[in-house]
Amino acid sequence: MGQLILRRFLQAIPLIFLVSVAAFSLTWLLPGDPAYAIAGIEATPEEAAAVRARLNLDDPAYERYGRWLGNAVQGDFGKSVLTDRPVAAELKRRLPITASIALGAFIMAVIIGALIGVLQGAFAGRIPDKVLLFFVSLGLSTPQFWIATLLITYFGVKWQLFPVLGYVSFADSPAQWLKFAFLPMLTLAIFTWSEVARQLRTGLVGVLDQDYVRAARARGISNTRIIGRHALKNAALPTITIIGVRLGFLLAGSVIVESIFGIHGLGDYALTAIQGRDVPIIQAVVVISAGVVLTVGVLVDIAYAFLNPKVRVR
Amino acid sequence: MTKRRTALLGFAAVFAIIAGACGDSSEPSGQGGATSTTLGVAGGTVGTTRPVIDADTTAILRYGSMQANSLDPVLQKTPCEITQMRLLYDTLFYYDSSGKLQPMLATEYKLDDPLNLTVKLRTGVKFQDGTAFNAEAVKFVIDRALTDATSNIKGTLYMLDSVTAVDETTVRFKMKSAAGGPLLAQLADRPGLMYSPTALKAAASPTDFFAKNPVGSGMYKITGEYRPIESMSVRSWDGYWDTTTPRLGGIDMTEVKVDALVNAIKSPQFDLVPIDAASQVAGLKDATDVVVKIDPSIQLRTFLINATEKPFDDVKVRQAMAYGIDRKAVTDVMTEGLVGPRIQWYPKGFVGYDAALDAIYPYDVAKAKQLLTEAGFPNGFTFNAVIGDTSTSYIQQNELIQAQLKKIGVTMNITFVPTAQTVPTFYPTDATKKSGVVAGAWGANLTFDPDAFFRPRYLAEGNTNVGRDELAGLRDVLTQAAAAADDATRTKLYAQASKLTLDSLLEGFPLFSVPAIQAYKNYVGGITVAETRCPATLRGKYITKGKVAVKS
Repeated sequence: MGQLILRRFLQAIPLIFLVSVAAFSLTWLLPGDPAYAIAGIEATPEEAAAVRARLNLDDPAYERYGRWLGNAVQGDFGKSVLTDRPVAAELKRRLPITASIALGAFIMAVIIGALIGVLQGAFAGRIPDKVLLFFVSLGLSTPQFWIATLLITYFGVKWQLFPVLGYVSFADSPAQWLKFAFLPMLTLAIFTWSEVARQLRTGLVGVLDQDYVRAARARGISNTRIIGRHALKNAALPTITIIGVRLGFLLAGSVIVESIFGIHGLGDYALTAIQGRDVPIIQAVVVISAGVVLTVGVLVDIAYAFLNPKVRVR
Repeated sequence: MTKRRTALLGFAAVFAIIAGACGDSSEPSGQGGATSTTLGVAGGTVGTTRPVIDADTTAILRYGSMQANSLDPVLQKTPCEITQMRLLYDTLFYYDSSGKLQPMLATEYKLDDPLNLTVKLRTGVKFQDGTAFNAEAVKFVIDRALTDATSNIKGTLYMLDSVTAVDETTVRFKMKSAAGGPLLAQLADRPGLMYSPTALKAAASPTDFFAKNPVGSGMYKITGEYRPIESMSVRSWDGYWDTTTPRLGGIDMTEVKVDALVNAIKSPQFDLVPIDAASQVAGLKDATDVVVKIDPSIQLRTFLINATEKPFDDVKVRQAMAYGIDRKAVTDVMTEGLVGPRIQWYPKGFVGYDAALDAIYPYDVAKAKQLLTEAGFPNGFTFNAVIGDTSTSYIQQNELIQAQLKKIGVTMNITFVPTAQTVPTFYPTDATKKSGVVAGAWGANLTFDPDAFFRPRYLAEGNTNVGRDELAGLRDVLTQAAAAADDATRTKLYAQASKLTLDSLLEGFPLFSVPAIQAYKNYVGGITVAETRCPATLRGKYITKGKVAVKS
């Protein structure tokens, strides 16, 4: 198991390297002149040239990449073009905000999705399955921004049960955190739990039709026990893949959700940077996000190995 | 020349006493004096009647915008930062909501001769660190704007040669070119924002000073952590010199994305938000405790023309565009009927306005066709308009005009460029390169002082002059207007400048003024004119005691 974890992490290193090259290339891929982004659009050519000289923007690309990578591995992603503030410090402050919401949404999605999936699987083809299928289909087909709008309109504005904008950190007040983060988490979670439920239902229906389950039933083992002890573990394998993929999507979804709910996390940071062509921030967010997604991939592999011993020997 | 000299002498003789001018509740009040002479409108004076306000001086206003990404006045990242800066730092002068120049930290000015301006400072004013505000402080701040390596506002002080602290309360500005009016305008803008030299020198670095604890002489002090383009809080400063302008206990500003603004003001979390799009106003109809105020703003939408490109090098073709575009129809669609169309740059009541120009270029398809025929294009022609690929509002504006120009036989194709590339495409910074723009719908921002609007747009060296061509005769008019000392002369000369620009249609013509829309809870007062998301003025805003609705 230890070797597997080590191997997976080593495999991720070249990928991170490639992502870093791609992220650094954004300097040329993005339109506009960073010198003017810093000096202001009304700056004279001389002022723009002074900015270029100050930031070594005229040095050869490989030299700049070497410097950037050397600093990045030490956690220094440079300074924001627009605010002149260290990117790493902002990432450190914002990453927990996004992570707490994504993680909260993830836990919510897994619990609710698993419950719905198991209920659907257990009652496959019957009325509870059909009713739940309706809601699952609705969750899968409704865009996030529309869900967010509905939640804000009813829960935030009309009934005033939750705040519509802002964020309070968990460390400051867990209760306030839940109050502020609930609607964003719900927005993010609905699609994921629908996906989890659909996948788990399909898995369970397949597994519950297998011979060993029939044999267990013949021995008089209760349906609850069959699902909980025998079927769920086997049915969960494809669902785990989905869950891993969805965690990456939850991070991506934070851009929309943070924008709508006025949360200043990583997604908001990335969006503002893209709008302002703040390359150092975009580069850092790309690398960090890729790192998170790759780490999640490795964790999914480990979970797979835990649930399916055959994977461990490969 | 004789006329100009007479005007200057007349001006010099009248030491312009503008202390004590007090406008509406959102503007600073002076102490004592009641008359004012302004550079805004000829003979204009400001009323002195102040409404009785039951303001809660401990209330915190929650404002749904915070676009500042720098609090250093010499480091302009966007024009938006000035909204926050004005809370912390006072300017020497300011423009009131009707566009008139008023006193603030300066009380009087005098043009000694065309190249020397003397400014008297308000006495007894202190910065928030206890440092006295005096002539040396003004010299330090202006010198930094002129000479600091990071300053990107040097160009705005193009006319300034040096600053001298004559005595504790007197500053002399020596100019390279006679431009007293434009210089005063700059002293009401970024270069005129005053911060404590003592505190700046004591800080580890200017970056540190402006990022962590900027110290001004403003009505409010910064509190807590300032987070660029995210959040900032200020609290009332007890030592502020102006004790009569309504004041809040503080202001908490949070950046809210455009799409979330309507929900923000409908929720209990915000008191005041700037609304970005006219289409969002409908979403506020059911909010009974929310007031929506709409006014024309200083942001204009225009039809830009590069007169160095064929066929727009022919004035008849340019005029055909002006006759062939139905500005009212475009305005109605783009603003949902919230404001009217425009044909001249400056609105009524502002320097630069000329009543005679109101009737110029009515919508007239036959006239447009006739002009095209006279220019040698009886069957019309085809050209490309350039626009940012994500600028939805500009795309819509171009599409409307595209449909209208078809009626006069002109085909306007639309070419998209990445949005971040639009400004460099329109106005290449390399003077040897041509603009990538021939014509099309675009925008422009008015300035209270017309010099700062016309000069960059119409003089050959102007950085927003799309063709780098120069309108004959305009330089002389602008130079005379900049040097003019009395309002009447300035008004006349800038009206002349407006006429020149609209007769020639170099750089195109305006279509409409973007509506400024503010939505606020009915207990918020001091809102005289709706303002855009940036810049905005929060000074003078207040919340009533017990949050009772403000009587309109």
